Parts: sequence; structure tokens; C-alpha cells
Amino acid sequence: MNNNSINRTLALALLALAICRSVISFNSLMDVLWHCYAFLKVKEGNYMTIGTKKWGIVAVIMIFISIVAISASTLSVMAATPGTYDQQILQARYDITSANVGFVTGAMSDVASQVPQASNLQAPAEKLSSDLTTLQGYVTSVDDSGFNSYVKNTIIPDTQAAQSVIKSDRQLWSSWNVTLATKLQLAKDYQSLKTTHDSGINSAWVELGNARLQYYNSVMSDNDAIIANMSSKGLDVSGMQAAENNARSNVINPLQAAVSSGSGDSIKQQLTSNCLGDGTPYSDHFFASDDLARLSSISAKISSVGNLSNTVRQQLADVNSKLSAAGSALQAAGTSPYSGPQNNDVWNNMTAASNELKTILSELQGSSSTQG
Amino acid sequence: MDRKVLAILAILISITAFMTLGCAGKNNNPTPIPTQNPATPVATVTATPAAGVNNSAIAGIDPSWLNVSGESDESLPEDSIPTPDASDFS
Repeated sequence: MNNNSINRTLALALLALAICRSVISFNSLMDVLWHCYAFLKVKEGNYMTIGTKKWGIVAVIMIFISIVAISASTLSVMAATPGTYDQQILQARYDITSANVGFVTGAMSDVASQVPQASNLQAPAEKLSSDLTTLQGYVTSVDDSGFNSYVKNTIIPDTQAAQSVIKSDRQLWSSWNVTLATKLQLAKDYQSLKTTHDSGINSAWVELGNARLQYYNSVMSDNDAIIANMSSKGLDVSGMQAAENNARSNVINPLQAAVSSGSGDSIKQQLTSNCLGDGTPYSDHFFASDDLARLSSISAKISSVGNLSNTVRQQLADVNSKLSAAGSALQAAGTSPYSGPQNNDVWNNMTAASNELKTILSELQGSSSTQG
Repeated sequence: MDRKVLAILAILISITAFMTLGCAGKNNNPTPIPTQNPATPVATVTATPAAGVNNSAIAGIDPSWLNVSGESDESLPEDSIPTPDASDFS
């Protein structure tokens, strides 16, 4: 290969790289044109062998296709990131449900197979298996509220109904003349099913503990970044820091200790008693506390600006009134789950204050840029 | 210059430009489309601060800091699913 063909190959490679960069940055599109020009400037193309030309073209196409594929996959991964923890958590919760339901259906099927008269157990067992299939759909679609609702309103009632059939059938064993050997076999099978259940449920709680912990840590990490940014701009972050410290000491650190122990029971105890948001006996309401502290800090910062118009001051007074109402509702809830209208009182007021602050900020920053 | 090479380069650059413009069009924070009727009097914009407002103090406030997250229900109803009693299987 002579110098010209080497130059041309290099020019092709640089052009391909420029094309790759242009996928990421619009400005780099100019590089493509520059490198295209450079490629055309490489003279004596006739000395280039046909084989080298073909390989150069193939190389450019391959690099281009690879970069497009990598870019597409990167974009899809980035797009999936926000829901990643939600889906991991739901999958772990599904696994807990599946272990519990599997224990019930396994025991029912075992009785039905050994006691012919207990064929009435088959239908509820099949219904529960069908329920699990439906529940998996909520995991796939990352539908948290749908998952909760389906467990509460369908799976738990179906399991309770199945248990009733089991118990009513058990009372008939004597009249069905179930032999002692069958009873012993059923008891043995039950223990085997319980061992499988206990192992599965322990793994599922560990899985859920890890997923929740990762999610909580990502929330704290994001919050730390905002605190650092706000602090660097001179905003008060003490309220946000206090909310975070509280969340770490009461929820995250105990969960971290349980996860580190590897004990499914310890993790279950933590997850069913403490949470960062709402819904367990100790509900930290970190999200509400943190948002309230942040909005209050920003409102105070805007209020400290001199020479605001009366209209803006009135708007800020309205914002502060809403934040105060949200704070009162939050204080009333304390660390218990929300009850009655508390959830709406907190979040409706906070959302309204947020929207109003956005309007104020947009107008002030817009006028700042036009003045400046 | 081989015409085939030129043709391939032209296609690649076209696709790249198309993708780049497409990505640029998917801006996560698009500039809001003004909804105000152009005929609406400017006087309806009420929050314009008086001259001399120290806007440098608020220039650094990121509007995304004003987003509120909401709180999801973190209860675990699946923990209440009843499991079979040993006494029912012996």
C-alpha cells in the first residue's frame, strides 16, 4: 500500500469518526464536512488499488453501523434508567407473592392428587396461578399502584378463599376415609413445600431489600447534588440536609444493616416497619419534607430580592401560605402513614406552590435577561 | 473520485444529519411554545419587576429545583398473603 492509499484510508477513518461525533453533537456536523473535504483533497486516488478502496468503504460502513447501533442502545438504556429501580422492586415483590401463592397452590394440588374427593381444590389453585400471570403484567408495565391494588383486591381474597376450601375439606377427611399413610405423606409433602417456600421467600426479601436500598441511595445521591448546587448559589439548604439526615438515620442506615446481615427476616422487619415515603408504621415522608424545605428556601431567596413589584410580593405570600398549609398537614401526619385528606393537603398545596414559584421565577428570570 | 465512494459518503452524511437533527429535536427541556395571544395587551403580564430589581440573586436558581416528587405507597400487602397451616395437612 503506497502513501496515497494510506492517506486516503486515514482520511476515510477520520471522516468516519467525524460522522460518529456528529451523532452526538450537532456542532460536529461541521467536522464531517471538513473531513469530507480533506478526503476529497487526497489526490492520486487512481493509485489506490480496487481492493483497498473496497475495504475502505466497507470499514466506513461498518464503523458507521456500529456507532449507530451503540448510540441507539445507549439511548435506550438511558431512557430505561428512571424506571429501573421501580421494576426491580416490583419484581422482588412479585417473587415474594409467587413464593407465598406457590406454597398455597402446591399444597392444594398435592391434596387434590392424593385425595380424589378433594377435586374442588383444583379450580381455586388454577385461579391463583392465573392471578400470578396477571400480576407479572403489572411488573412488566411498572404499574406500582396497579400491582398493589391487584394484590390487595384479588390475590389476597383469592388466597383466603382457597384457604377456606382447604380447611373445609380437611374437616371431611374422616368421612372420606383418608388413610393414615396418605395423611403422613401429605404432612411430609407439606414440610417439603414449606422448606421450598422458606428458602424462596428469604431470597425474595433479600432481593427486595437490595433493590429498595439501591433506590434510596440513588434518591440521596440526587438530593446531595441538588443541595450542593443550591448551596453554591447561596440558597439555604439546612432544611433539606436535616430531612436527609433524618431519612438516613431512621430508614436507610437500619435497612443497610439488615441487608448487610443477609437475613431475609431482618430485611422484612425493616421494610414492613420503616419506609422513606408513605405506607408503613414509620413513614419518614422524606420526599415531602425535602420538597417543602427546598421550595421554602427558594421562596425565601426570591423574597430577599430588592424592589419586587407588589404583584410578585402578593404571589410570594400566596406561595408561602400554600407551603405553610402543606407543612401543617405534614406535621399532623408526623411519621405515621397519611390518613384522611393529609396526603392531598400536603401534595396539592405543594404542587400549587411549585407551579406558582415556576411562574414567578420564569417572569423574573425572563425580565432579568431582557434587562441584562 | 470514484462515484460509488461519493454516493456512499453522501448517503452516510445525510443519514447522520437526519439523526442529529432528530436528536436535537428531542430536547428534554423544550422552549415552551408561547400560548399568549399576540393581540393580548402586554399590560396583562403582571409580574414584571420594577426597574432596579436585583435579579442576579435569582439568576442561578434552576427551575428544575421547583419540581415536586410526590410520595408513592411503599406498603407491602403481599406480606399479608396467608400461607397454609401445617394442621390442615396432617
